[in-house]
Amino acid sequence: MWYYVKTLQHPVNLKSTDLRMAKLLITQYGGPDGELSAALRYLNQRYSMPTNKSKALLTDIGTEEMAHVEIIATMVHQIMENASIDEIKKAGLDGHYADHGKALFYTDATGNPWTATYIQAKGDIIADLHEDMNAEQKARVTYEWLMNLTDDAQIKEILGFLREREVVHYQRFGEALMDVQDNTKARDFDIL
Amino acid sequence: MLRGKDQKKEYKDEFKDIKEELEDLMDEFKNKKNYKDNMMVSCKSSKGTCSQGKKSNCLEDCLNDPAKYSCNVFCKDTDENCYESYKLFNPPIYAKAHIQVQPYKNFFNLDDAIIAGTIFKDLYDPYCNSGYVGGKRSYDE
Amino acid sequence: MMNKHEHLLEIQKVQFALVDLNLFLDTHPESEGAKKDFAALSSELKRLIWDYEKKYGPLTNFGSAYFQNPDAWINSPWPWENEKGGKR
Repeated sequence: MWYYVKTLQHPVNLKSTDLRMAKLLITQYGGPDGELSAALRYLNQRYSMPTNKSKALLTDIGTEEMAHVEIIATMVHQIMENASIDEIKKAGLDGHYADHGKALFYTDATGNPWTATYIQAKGDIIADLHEDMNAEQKARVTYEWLMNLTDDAQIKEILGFLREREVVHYQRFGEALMDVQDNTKARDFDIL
Repeated sequence: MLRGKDQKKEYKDEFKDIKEELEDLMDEFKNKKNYKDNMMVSCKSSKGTCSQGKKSNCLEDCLNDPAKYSCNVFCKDTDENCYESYKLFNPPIYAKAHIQVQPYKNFFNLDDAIIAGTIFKDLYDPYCNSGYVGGKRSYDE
Repeated sequence: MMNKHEHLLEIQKVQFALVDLNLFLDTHPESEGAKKDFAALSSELKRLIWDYEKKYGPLTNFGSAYFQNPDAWINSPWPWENEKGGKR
């Protein structure tokens, strides 16, 4: 069950009107290595996890990722909300505008819609935790590439925050995996 | 609503039909179960068991003869079951994740933590790319 | 005395530390130090939220806030709205 807390995890009050950047930031909203993928991946995997630690971790990290979805959405929204049609055209956002106006949508940076093929749940704790660690690394790298693509200090700071969260999540998933590796035989949980 | 004599008979017949159907299903299930049990009983033959019936020898057995029956199928008596003993297999060389153990110390204060992205200084890994003109806290503006 | 913006920022800082701590405790549930800090910070967060909600309205929905105020829930600023440099 979820309650909603009416505040962002990290403040976002952007002065930037860099629409080109808004177009790129969308990939962390609805793209393959973005926050929505992370949230849905973890919240979905937790149902078949055999250990309580992994259920807790996936629930908590999944919930935090939903909060990150919100942060990315806020950044894109704030950059776009006062844009003129000319600015939108110049930034190559006219395609998005035709389909969605100034609304947000779950796509990657080139407009491909989000798909469940971005995520997986194998129902095996070893495989699933490895997938999660991989996802965190991909997200971290995406934030680094995005940070390379802007000079705006505010945007860089928020991306840096989100990037560091991926580093921490990687550590936590790794700890959960080590816990399984070291304390149990690999497939003790199988119910044949 | 009162039930007429005829209606009562109808219910009785219906019930009888359902009962028979249920019994057929139960028989089918029992047959399937027996089939499975019969298949698995074969593990008990000398061909199928691990040497000396000891699980600990399964690793050796299966390394010596991976084609052995009990190394490849699921035995009803799990003690006979070398296939399940792959759970005991801990091959010395296989890929494992290794994460450094993180001590509970070295914390950022609350004002810095939300900028750094973590409360743990040991996990802090800033991306120091060229061209970063930061150093300000955006929330102070 | 904090203004609304500063008060909310304090809540965000404590709330964030608690998220990070919660994740640590998910994989280190036996850590006495972490448990102690978690409990202490949790109390502080609740105190901060209680004071904030009393003045400005609920921060959470479905009746889980310390103070209910449907009008404030609807009409107080939403998190994605730009404060535009807000030290209000």
